[in-house]
Amino acid sequence: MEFGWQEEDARFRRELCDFVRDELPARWRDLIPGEEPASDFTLDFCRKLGERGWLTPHWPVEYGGTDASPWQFIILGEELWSAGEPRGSQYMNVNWIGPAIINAGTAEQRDYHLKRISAGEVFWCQGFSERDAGTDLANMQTTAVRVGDEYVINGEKVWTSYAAEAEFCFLLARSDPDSIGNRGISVFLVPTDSPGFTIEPIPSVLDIHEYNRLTFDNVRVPVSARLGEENDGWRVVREALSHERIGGPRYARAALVTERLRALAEERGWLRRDGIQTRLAEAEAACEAARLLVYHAIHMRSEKRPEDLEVSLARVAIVRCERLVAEVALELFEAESIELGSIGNSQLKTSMIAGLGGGSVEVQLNAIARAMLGTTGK
Amino acid sequence: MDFDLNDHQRRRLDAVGSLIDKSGAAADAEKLDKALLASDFHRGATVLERFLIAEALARRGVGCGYGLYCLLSDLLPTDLPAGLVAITEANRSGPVRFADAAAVVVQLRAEQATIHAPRRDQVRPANTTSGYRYAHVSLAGQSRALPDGAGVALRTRWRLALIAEISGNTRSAIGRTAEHLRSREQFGQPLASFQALRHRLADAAVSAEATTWMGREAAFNHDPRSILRAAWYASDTAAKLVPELVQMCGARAFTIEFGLHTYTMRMNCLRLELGGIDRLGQELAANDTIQRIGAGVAR
Repeated sequence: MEFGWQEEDARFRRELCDFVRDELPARWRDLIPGEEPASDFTLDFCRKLGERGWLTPHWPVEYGGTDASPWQFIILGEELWSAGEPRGSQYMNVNWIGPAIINAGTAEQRDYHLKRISAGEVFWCQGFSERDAGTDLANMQTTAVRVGDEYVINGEKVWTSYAAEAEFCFLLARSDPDSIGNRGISVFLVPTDSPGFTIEPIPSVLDIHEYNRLTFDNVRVPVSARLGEENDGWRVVREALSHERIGGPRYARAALVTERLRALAEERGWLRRDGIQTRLAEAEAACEAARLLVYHAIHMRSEKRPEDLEVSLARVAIVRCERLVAEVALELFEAESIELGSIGNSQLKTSMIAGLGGGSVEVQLNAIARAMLGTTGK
Repeated sequence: MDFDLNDHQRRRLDAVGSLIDKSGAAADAEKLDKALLASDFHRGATVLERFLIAEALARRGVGCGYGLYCLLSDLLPTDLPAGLVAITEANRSGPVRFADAAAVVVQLRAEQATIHAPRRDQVRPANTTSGYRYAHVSLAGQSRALPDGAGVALRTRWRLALIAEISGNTRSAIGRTAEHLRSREQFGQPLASFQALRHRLADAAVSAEATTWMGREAAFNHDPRSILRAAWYASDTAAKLVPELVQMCGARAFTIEFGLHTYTMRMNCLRLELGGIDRLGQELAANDTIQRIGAGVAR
């Protein structure tokens, strides 16, 4: 047991930090990840990352990666997430859409999509949740009916991030009309400019993040757009998302915000206010707790051991730290936090997303309890 | 970065475990301490290894003083009388853990540290249900001063010992609670089938895991701020989980036969010895200011 960095990982972080310092305008330090999900800047930034092999370092070499350790994957996440996530929505492609295509794609799908993802040239969105299928995703009703060499897709997906800028949608649809639950579902790689595919924003209080409704009205895609076997989509997604449940390394940014809050509290003479030092300590310790639990999960991954429990523990700790940092910010700034764009307001919004984005945190609590108590408790 | 024990660490911990097993479940802490002190488990050990020993002893439900000794002994002069070490702060009152069994008592006063060998009549056992030996001790009389700065180093190690012991006790307390939730049936079903309890236990497990890894990393890096953060987290975890786990187990948690008290009572006194979250929060704030002045950084 030891907690030092390997020289190659430490070097990777140093070089990455230098790159971020040189390439990223200062305004990014104040952005909440997701606030600028896709723009010419993020595309250009990702291309530059791609040129260095830094967009997909953990991918196999033959698909545009460098076979780097999972530690470099998390270092990349920490440094970019805490700098406002200048990869925009591309972190999804890199973290799990690409790996899903590596695992389940045909030679043509791999050839076309992976090159573009690892070069940083394309944005994606995910079509998962529906009105009646959020946490209970297997209850989805969107259909994909096979007609000759095509599938005809009908249905609606909601709360989809980054859809307005996406070129492709990683879509889950029910391909067996008689199926229920997680059987009979397939994955489709659907161009967002397909006829019948409409995207509209869903008004929300989350000024830092845009949600969309995706409507599929007789959208036709070729059979070659299906990822994996027909009706085997649940397995494809489960495998791909198993590496994604941690989500963004939110603790890294939350720790920076805490540091900033501490400095602001000192500048304004608020450190002596009742309970502020305790709350700052709580937030700082919570960020550190999340970091170590994520590292434990990454250790399990790098050892190629099951990581489910460690990932769930880490995810709960991440949500806790985001919420605690938000609480300190709100306590410190009180009414100043009412205004959009203030630290308190933005931190509140990002902490609200933390417990739901990428899946409800209660699912992780269920998973931890299952590991400790069994399924029914018997 | 490696979260697994290496061979060396595993051998050391296996040896500690074997000695406890040989002593039997009913071995009293005093006998066990004698056997552990006579061993060479702590010789040449790194701070992390010393931390792991203290954690393992606590996890086994052993209320002995060897864990604390492991973390302190290599910072003390080599010519001290053989035996356990107790430690206390000059500005804090209350009984001192192991003071009636220790060969010496270390007293910390800011950055200074003094060593005392109190006479028998200066030590009065305290009446507690803590699961450890506590005694009131008067440190008037002769003492031996350690070099400047020893107080800071010893306080840091003391905290690491307390974090390790909280970590070990917390994990076992959660294990005992999980066992109860699985076996106890109410309303015709196991308590473990109720989501309210499942989520509370899962939440407790997150805190326990984090306490463990923060402590271990702090012991490895020996960075003052990491140790303070880990101390804050451990103190908070113990404060929150004692009532939480007792509540989940119900009134039987108070009984000796149920056994949860072995861990919860210790968690409670360890966190009081470590200091409350307000005190530790103030120290973190002060440490931040010192660090920034030292680095000459204006934010």
